[in-house]
Amino acid sequence: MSPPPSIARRLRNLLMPLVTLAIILALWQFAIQWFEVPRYQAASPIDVAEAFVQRGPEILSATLVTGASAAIGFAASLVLGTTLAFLFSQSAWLRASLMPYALFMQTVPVVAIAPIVISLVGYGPRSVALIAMMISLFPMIASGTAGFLAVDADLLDLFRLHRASGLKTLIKLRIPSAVPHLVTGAKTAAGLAVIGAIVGELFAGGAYNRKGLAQLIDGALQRLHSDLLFAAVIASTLLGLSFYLAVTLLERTVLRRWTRRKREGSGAP
Amino acid sequence: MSSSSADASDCFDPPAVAVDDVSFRFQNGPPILNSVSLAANAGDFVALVGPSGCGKSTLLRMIAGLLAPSQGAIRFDRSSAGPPRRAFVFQHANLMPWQTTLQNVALPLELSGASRREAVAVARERLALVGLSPADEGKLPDQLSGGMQMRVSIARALSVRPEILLLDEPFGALDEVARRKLHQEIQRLHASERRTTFFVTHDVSEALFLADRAIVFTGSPGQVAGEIVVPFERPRGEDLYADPTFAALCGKTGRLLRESAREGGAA
Repeated sequence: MSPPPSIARRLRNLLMPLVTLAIILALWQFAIQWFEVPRYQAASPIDVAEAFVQRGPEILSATLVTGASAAIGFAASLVLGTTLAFLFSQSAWLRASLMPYALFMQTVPVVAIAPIVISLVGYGPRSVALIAMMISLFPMIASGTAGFLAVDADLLDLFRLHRASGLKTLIKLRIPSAVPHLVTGAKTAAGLAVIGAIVGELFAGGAYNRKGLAQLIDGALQRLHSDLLFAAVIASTLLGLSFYLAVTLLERTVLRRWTRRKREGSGAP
Repeated sequence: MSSSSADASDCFDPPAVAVDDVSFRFQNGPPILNSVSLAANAGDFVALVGPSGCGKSTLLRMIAGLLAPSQGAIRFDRSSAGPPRRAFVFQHANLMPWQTTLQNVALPLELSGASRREAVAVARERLALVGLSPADEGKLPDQLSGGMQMRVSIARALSVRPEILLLDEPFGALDEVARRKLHQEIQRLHASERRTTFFVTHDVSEALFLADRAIVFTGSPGQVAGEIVVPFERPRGEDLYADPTFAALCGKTGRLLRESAREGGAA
């Protein structure tokens, strides 16, 4: 059990990134003014801040639209990915037959998949969520399969010795053993789902008559509103970050038993 | 003992075990055990000593019913019908890291169909038996020392009230102090309820300190090289280690181990 970090260290770890941010913002503001960059090319931090204030509701609404599609895609990828991972872990034949194609799907770029999905499913948020799911599926399958395969052999023997049914072994041993790996996969998938949703929106549009972040970005670019463009990009980043943090929060609370650092060496007294 | 956990564990009838000309190999693999025969009386404490890779753990798994002999048979002789209850203590404590001490110990009973309440009640009792305090019940395994984890692992094995207890080098990873404490513990547990016990180790003095008899194995493929009857009175205390007859018997067993290894041509 490592000692809690000292207050000085915590302050440093919290404060220094903010100092870095302040310096970058200052340099950015200074560069825009010094080189007299026109507003339509690049906005200064102050312009961006103003855009956030003035067009706040619009940015928030777009973020929520994209966030909803990403969340649905992410949730679907969690469920489907975990299920597929379990099936893959159960049969070497299935793994051999399907894993190459799962890998292949991972290598196809989102921008290439999106039009195909739209031609099949049509425009709108359903396609966006589907694209988000497809993009975030592979890390769930890969980590999940590794997790389901990483069950301790002796514990499996213990379950066998006490005549546990297959279902009990699944619920009490296989799934819990896979949790740390599933969390790792979910962290990667969370960020990818947001990327998938935004790219998906570029092709498939937002929700019926509400704009998503991609529409906001596209519109700002068309009208040379660089301040709104920057603000929308920052909102996209924050959306991805919030997905990642949601998984991390789950990891630190509900799943704490699984993810706390394992002390090395069970032999040490 | 609680009244309802009972039906299974009310009858406690440790069997005599006969390993009869048992050979084992994995499919197309090299032979691991070659016509091994040995016998244990009901309630005997038998140590299986030998170099690593001599198949003694494999034999333990066959007695547990986790593996089937390729040839020969393992028989249990007792008055009750049906297979005896068996429990296994692994080389590493092998607790489920996401479950508390109490949940880990209750697991085998729950798997065998006991209700959660029964299982928890028995688990509490077994934890006390191996020297854990109620304060440890809610701890996760990684909050316990290696010695404590092994105690929990033993409590887990005892939860089903086994008639045969199988221990596979359980103390190999522990330091000397923890190991000697657990030797006393195992001895005390055996005296309080005489299950037929098989204890695998490569440590000669550990085998002779604990067992009624030590069966010496040689390596690849595993064969029985000889059997040492351990004459010392129980309970055996720490001072036994200083006893010259104990040292002499250790020496004799060690020689048997080395000579048979040389004959077998094993490295």
